[in-house]
Amino acid sequence: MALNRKIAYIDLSTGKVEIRPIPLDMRKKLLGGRGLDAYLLYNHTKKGCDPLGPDNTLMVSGGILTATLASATARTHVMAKSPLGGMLGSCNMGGFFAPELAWAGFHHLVIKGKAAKPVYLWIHNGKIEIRDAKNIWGKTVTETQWTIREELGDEDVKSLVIGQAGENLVRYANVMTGIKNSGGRTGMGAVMGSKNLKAIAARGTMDIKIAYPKEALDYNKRFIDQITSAKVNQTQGTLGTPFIWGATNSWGGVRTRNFQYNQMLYCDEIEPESIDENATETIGPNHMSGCFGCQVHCRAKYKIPTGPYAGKYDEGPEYTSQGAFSSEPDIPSLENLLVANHLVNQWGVDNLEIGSIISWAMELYELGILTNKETDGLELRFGSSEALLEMIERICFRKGWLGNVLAEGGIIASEKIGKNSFDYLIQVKGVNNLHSDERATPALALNIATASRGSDHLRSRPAIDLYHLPQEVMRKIYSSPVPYDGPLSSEHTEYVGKPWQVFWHENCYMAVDCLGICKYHTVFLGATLPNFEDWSRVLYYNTGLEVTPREIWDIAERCNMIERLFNLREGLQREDLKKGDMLNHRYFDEPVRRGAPDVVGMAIDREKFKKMVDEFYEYKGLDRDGVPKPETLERLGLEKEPSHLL
Amino acid sequence: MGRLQPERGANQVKCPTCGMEYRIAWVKDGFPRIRGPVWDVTKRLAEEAFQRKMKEEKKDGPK
Repeated sequence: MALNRKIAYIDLSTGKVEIRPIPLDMRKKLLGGRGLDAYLLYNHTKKGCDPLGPDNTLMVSGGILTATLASATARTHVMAKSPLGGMLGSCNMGGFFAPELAWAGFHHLVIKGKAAKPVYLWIHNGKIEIRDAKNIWGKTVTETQWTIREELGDEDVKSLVIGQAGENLVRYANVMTGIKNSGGRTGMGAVMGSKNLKAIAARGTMDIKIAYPKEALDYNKRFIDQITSAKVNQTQGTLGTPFIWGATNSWGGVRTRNFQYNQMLYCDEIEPESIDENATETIGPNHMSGCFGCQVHCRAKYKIPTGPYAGKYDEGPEYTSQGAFSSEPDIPSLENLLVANHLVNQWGVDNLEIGSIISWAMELYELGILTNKETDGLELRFGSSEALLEMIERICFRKGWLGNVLAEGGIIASEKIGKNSFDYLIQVKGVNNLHSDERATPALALNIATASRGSDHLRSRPAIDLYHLPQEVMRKIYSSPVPYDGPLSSEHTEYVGKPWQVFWHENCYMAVDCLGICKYHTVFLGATLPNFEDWSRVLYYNTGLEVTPREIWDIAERCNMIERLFNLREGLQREDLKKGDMLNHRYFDEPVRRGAPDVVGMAIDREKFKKMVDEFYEYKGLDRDGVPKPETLERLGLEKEPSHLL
Repeated sequence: MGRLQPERGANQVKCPTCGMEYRIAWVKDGFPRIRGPVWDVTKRLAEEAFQRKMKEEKKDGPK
């Protein structure tokens, strides 16, 4: 059954592998996936350890529901201390790896130490081997996966790999699987690279017994109806995530020219319908693919139509690539978007981070803070595709002074560049903001300021806040599984009620990350999608584990608090611009100039923002400094952490 | 800002409140989505709104 999947402790320095069961009481306390990984991280790393040193511990996992009969439970989670901001590192990706790992007998891997030479792990039916990686070191993401398959003589092997960016310790290198399934944001690929770990390959044929198969199948049919009837998922299944672009760029929610504007003008070429019309083998109902066990099929395919990369096949581009390679550097070219997306997928680097950091450098260049001396003569201007693509390569391969400096991430780079460069860096906890501009959306601003892995939309973003939902719909969502009778506003420019929404979504997203479910199958982009009530039943029918909706909420709250404890141990202070729950001054001081008339002129009100943070802390049981109160730790059963039970 | 319902098959829709105009794409029959703004209109409205609001702020002081 799903609950008998094991945890493996792998020491790359000594080659020792230890396999243990996961006790049921730990499952009841943490479920699995990201929550259990957070426990392992807090227990297996020491305060202040070097994120790129052998003492950093890397966790790889699937959720508790992975490879069961539940839909869309293919997410793989990776966690370690982040080399980007020195805080919590965490990434999550779709694809086919986590189910294969579960069929091979494992839900969690805990990887310590550093191999003397490049290696990869081969995990198959309860066994783990450490193998020489000399044939795959230096290869791209897809070359690595196919070489491993050839070496092992099995085309069904699924691998989690790093590209050249991870090998070169770019501090925001991704862990990748498939063509474009990306574990991005906090540099987990660099942590793998620092351990000389090029890949983890898995293949398994070990059955997973379902506790109540008939009920699990019946309930999943209902689940599928719910998923496929949602308009948001029908749109995703036709256009992929770029469908979001039209609305957000129209009203003015997209960063442009680093943070100078909140809308990209005259960019018809990068709209999803245009991609469909101009690229070959592209998006459209017959050209979408999906992850294991998913009915949404949000993954678009394309071939680059023109230029030196014409004919190259890839997947995406995601909404985030439209932001990173089009709006932030202000380049309205379709070819530029498709090529940049292809390069980051092949070399294994975070699209959001690299697009943001290059756009930041472009602003510094136009201000004269960076000059031709630092760029080795490259005209690093907004609107230049040549400059963007050149800098992507320089960063991934650490070429030249600036490529090497930007590979270190924004905070270290700002220290090396000097002057007032940090003032222009749009980041939280060392992680560059994604391409959304939150100056007109206080709830979204609170989300990125307080997210545990730094500025990020997948930790607690109430994206449905942009839908102007009727009050009764909002009340129904936000009053379950715990009662809430406070204010709720359907107006996205408001401050009232938003801290509760962010708190609710923080627990919702942690819950799905523990279960292993994709966020597109919950109340992230669709108000009618499955929720705590559904998960309680799905969990019981598939695993036999009896957990009420309220208990899932409590587990999520506990796991979020463990992440908070980790960040506090690494130096989180509420208003610290580099390690705190704080936004760049431009959010407060520079009003937005573009978009819908009701949005134009808005900036985040500093006092109201502080009050939102206060209220959010109260819901979480934190004091005014953002530190958990003793009674909160007791309520969540965390007063004795780290407890070293796993 | 509120919710808009374009006429079936229309390729543009205008907000009756603020004057914003949007280009519409149809995911399938009866299922519209915003493809993007009408560029010249959004640019003009934003510039006017920004100038007006900055003038008001100057007059009233920061809110």
